[in-house]
Amino acid sequence: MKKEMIRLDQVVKEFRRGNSTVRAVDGVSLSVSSGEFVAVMGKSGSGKSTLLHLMSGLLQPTSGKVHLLGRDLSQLTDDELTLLRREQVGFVFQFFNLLPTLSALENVALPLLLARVKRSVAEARAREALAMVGLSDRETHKPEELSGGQMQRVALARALVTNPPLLFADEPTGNLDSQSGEEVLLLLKRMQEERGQTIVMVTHDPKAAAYGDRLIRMQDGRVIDDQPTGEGA
Amino acid sequence: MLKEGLVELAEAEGSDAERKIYRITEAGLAELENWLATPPLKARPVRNEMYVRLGLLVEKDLTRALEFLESQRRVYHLQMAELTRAKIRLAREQRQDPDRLRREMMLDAALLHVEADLKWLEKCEARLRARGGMET
Repeated sequence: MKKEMIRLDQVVKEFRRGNSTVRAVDGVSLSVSSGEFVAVMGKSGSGKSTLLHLMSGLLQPTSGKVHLLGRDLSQLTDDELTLLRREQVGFVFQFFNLLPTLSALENVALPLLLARVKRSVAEARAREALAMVGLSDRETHKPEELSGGQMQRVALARALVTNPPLLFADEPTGNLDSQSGEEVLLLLKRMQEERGQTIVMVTHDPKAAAYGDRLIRMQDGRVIDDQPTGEGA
Repeated sequence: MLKEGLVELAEAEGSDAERKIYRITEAGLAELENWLATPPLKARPVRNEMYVRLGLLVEKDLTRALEFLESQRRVYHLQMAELTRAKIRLAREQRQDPDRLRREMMLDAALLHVEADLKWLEKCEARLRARGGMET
């Protein structure tokens, strides 16, 4: 039985730019079920990243409702929202967002340490996550000693270490060469298939979007197309 | 090829007595080597069903031409997803043999062609919108 992981009802997000208001997301309604790998595509300024931030509770909508894992985000306190994100959601960003002074292992263990998991347990799970992304031999390396592709795989391990049911990826291959990008996409696909993780990935690249099994295209803050692209579509 | 001396008639044996069997000659082998080593000069054909339809629609109705582009775009995205699944399956295969290499190269070509087609659609759309004075 598929579970509804995300639901957006008539969501609008406006930003103030000087004296004017820009509507980045314009009345979007959609739903994402468990186990889906959704690619959100659009040109720069189409509102795709804003949509991802709204879905994940990083931004509050100007109007409309966002439900994440059955919870109405507008009804949660900041602490509840932080807890929900920390335990149920993983994030991967274009620029990796790793802490430069920490080793790969420490970066991956960080979400667990923030959740007050015992250090020895956190490090053991971080080792497993690094093994999963093929980086067991880079545990002690600092980010600056890693290639872009390796940094993104560390970031992916960090996003997965808490085993969240939901993973958000914002242009995860945008800063990588094509070979490293493919490795990251193959890992995301594996997470969906083997661990049943729900993935929402924003990209401007149709080659990356093709790893998903549903494609949402955005333009001027609106969804202009929502098509299944998976097996048998 | 027989006239040009690239192949010659070989003796048929047993049950194949009624069939003509040809054997490649030295000259034929040289020609084959030459063919293998020469890059084909023709680029991808510009005429296909898609271009012809678009060409006609542009004359008739810009809005319909844009709708046509949109439906073609959906087809290309589906093709790209299908090719990507084939690529993922191949990436997970353990064996390393010439057949795998051949399939990898064919998939690369197919994916790059679809990517180029998608980019071309974007350009077409921008041109149509500019022509129609529509917002891009």
